[in-house]
Amino acid sequence: MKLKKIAASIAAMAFAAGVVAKENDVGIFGTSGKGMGDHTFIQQDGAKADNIRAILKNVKMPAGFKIDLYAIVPDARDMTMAPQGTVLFVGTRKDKVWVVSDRDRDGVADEVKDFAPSLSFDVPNGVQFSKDGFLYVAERNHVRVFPAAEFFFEGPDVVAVDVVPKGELIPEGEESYNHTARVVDIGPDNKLYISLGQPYNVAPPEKLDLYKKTGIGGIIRMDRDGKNREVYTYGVRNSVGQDFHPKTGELWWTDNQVDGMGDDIPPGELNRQTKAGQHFGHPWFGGGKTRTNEYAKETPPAGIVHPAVSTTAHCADLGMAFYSGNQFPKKYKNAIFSAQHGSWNRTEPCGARVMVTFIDKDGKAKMEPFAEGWMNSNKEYDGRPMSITMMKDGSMLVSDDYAGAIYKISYVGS
Amino acid sequence: MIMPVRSTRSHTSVANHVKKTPAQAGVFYFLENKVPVNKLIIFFLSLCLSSVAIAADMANGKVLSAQCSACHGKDGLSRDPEAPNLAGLSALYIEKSLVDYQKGARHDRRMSLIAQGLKKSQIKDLSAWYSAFELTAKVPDI
Repeated sequence: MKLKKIAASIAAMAFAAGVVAKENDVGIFGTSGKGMGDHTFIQQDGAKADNIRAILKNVKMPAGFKIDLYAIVPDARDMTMAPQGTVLFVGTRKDKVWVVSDRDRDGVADEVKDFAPSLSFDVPNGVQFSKDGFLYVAERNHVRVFPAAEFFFEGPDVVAVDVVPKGELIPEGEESYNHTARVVDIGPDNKLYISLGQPYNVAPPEKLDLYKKTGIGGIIRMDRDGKNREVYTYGVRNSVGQDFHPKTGELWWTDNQVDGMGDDIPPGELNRQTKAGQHFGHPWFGGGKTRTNEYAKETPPAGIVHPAVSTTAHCADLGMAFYSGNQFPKKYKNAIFSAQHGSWNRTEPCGARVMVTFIDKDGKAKMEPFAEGWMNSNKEYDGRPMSITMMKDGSMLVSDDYAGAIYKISYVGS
Repeated sequence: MIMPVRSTRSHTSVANHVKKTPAQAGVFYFLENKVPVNKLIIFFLSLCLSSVAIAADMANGKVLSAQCSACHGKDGLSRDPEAPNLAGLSALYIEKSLVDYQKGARHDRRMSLIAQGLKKSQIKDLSAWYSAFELTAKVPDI
């Protein structure tokens, strides 16, 4: 080795010696250990809770609204409040469904534990209670119902009934690791509506027949016992948020659009579906009216429905819910609250906020930011809002699978 | 010689070609193995600096990592079930992974897109940054 090179090495090392590695907070998903049989309990106070409360001070909302930490819930995704309003069930993209209780009824959760630890769950993202108290859980390739889960969650073992047996939601060969977070909702027709994201960035031609038949890249519906399954929606890329308009009963849903076409196209989508069997454009359209490169020369099917709202590209519009409560000012009645999870490869990051969409009497929709502040000045995420649900008192809950938390937004006026 | 990016544990790799480690053999290791003087200098420097990562531009890695943090976490601990923790991985492995995505030897819907946009120097900087994170693990008690 030449002396000059050694000198260069020494210089490089001396330069680097000034930079010391930062300590990590390894305990971010820390639990308080196990107790009461096999349940895992999540600690609700301490440094993590304090850090999250500090971040929430940066969140800006219209005057009169306040935001608080409701619960620490690891990987919190889709949420559903039990009919009595006592316990919140929370899905994840991992292997747990969490049960969040507010036993002392002070408006903040005091206990978070896993639901039915005797059972195994595989990407149980979608959770939905029926009005009569049945909890539906949609996993990657399985849908189950848990009768009276609001009362039976106390024990580690619960009654579970298959709605769609494991391996029958999609063909097993189509199981993938992306776009497999389902949402499930119950329509005004008392049927289950389940989103089935297609696994690709742009669905390839050789898969289209199979996907059309099975409802992959679509939304399917079925009776609550799993019978009479049919495809309700075609041309979806990956929807992780849907709800029914409280007045019209129409299904509105978000969709995540094609990556790799640049920062500004294609737009994200909020869609309005007015009847069964409508086609929303994927894979011929990558989002909005932007054609995908892969299908640029193909003729799209007739009658494509374009989005009600085209959103900023790559902000990742995910969970959504209509506001039907009475606590917020009147203008929010029947508006949509939706979460923008935030971009992952946009040069100028966008998202990490809660949006609100007002729909006028002609069905025309206009979206604007409602709560922002989870992206810090370094353009890093301090949180990533994922989904929305409403409480019985008209407050709104926002899940965040990055912070592992649920926030409560309420209107307190001036 | 260009020193590769080093994580906290990689200084032993200098002596990988012998059976006994320097720690086992003590000072006699260097006499017995006739290690050239310049390697000795590098080796002792590595020891002195063993608690820090060595990189030409780790600071740039930190800047670039803002984008990675969306999935892999600001602390290098992933919040996304599809994404691994990066904290404390060896620089070699991070670099190899990014190059594999770039060349198409490995494919992921997100990483294949991300890697396409990275220069070789940026890959080195990012690898230096994440490999310098210190991490402790708690092994399950069963």
